[in-house]
Amino acid sequence: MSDTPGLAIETTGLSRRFGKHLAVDGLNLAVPRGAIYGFIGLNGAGKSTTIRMLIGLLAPSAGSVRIRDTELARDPVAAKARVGYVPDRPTAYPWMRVREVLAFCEGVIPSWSPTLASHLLKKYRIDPRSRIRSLSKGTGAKLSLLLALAHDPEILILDEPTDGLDPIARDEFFEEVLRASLDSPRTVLISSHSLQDIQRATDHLGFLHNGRLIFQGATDDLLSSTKRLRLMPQSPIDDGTLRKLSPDISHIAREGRAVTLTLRNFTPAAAESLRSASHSPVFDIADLSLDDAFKDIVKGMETTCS
Amino acid sequence: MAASDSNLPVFQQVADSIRHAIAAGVFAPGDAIPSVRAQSLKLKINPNTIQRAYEMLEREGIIESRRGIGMFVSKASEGPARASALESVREAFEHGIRTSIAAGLSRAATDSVYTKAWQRSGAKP
Repeated sequence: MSDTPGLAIETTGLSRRFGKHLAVDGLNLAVPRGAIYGFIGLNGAGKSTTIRMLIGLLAPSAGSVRIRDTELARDPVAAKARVGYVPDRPTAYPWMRVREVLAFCEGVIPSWSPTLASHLLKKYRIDPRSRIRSLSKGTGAKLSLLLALAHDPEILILDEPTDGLDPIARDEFFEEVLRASLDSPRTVLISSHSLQDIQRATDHLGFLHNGRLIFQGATDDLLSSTKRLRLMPQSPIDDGTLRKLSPDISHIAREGRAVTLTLRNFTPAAAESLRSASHSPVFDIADLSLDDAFKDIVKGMETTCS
Repeated sequence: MAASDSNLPVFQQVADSIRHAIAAGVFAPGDAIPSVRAQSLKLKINPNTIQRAYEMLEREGIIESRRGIGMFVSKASEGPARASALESVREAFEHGIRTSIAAGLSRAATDSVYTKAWQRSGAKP
């Protein structure tokens, strides 16, 4: 517990280049121990590339990954032993039976626990005699979760695990992920392109956009610090003038005379000063959903960068 | 007791749903409320979020923890529950009043909307 107590995963300047394309750009991820961390980004944002570097499947072009107190590049075996990984698509051979897959894993994963595996098999109601190809998507996802958990890892990393699952299968899957996190002091990182799917299960979020981390923090803090402010300026006021009033405006929308600002680091005082500076007699403050907060931050980035 | 889908932070939605359940008599003073674990698995909500909601309700005096047993609706929950109900009503009215001002409606016109809404609700005058 010397330098970074409390972090399960930490990356410093993590980057990955594919030819000319910088897929992941200087990521400083900080995933607290015990957190359920939602790693959110649109398709192609760099989530899978990042995850593959976290689990040591892909070497970074620059930067480093720390798993608890172990530098991944320095001691990959020790670091990887702490991590369970659920890939975005099942990796088991379709012609194999479930029990053959388990026997195979037992043979290649040193810390594999046959007791834990058979316990999870019963809990997830998976028939060991089934062929992989005959499993439903929901059961396939649970089998992937079992394969990741059977060596009782301290960190569980899931890459878009609920993609393609129906709402009931998704609910069941999340229940098992929550149970895995409640049953032992485990840290979970779960990626998704849909914030709506995973926000309730998470307590921390990181937003990835074009390979860069544009927000990282506690889920509830994001909601209480990001608000929409609706103003009715008495005379027209352009976007540039508004943006000069506050660096925290992440998005501006207009409808008729009304101007709606998305504000980061919200305080009532900041709202009041924007109201008076824009000569708006009234204002209204609205909460916004996480999905909208994410979209507004992304749109705001694009406006600022262009 | 599903938490609503509003845009409030999730811990507030969870706390509100418990306040409403107590107000509606689903849980009476002295009753146990579900554990953090049970609530988390049932609602598929992060356990830390449930914990934060419970801590908020405990600070408000609505629930109390009995060590080693769990959380219970406090015997004196009526006062704090009433105070937090008044707080939500105040927020709703303030929102309505701002809407009224923005639309240029008078105080009298706004009062009459309120009076009519109260009559339509069928509650005692």
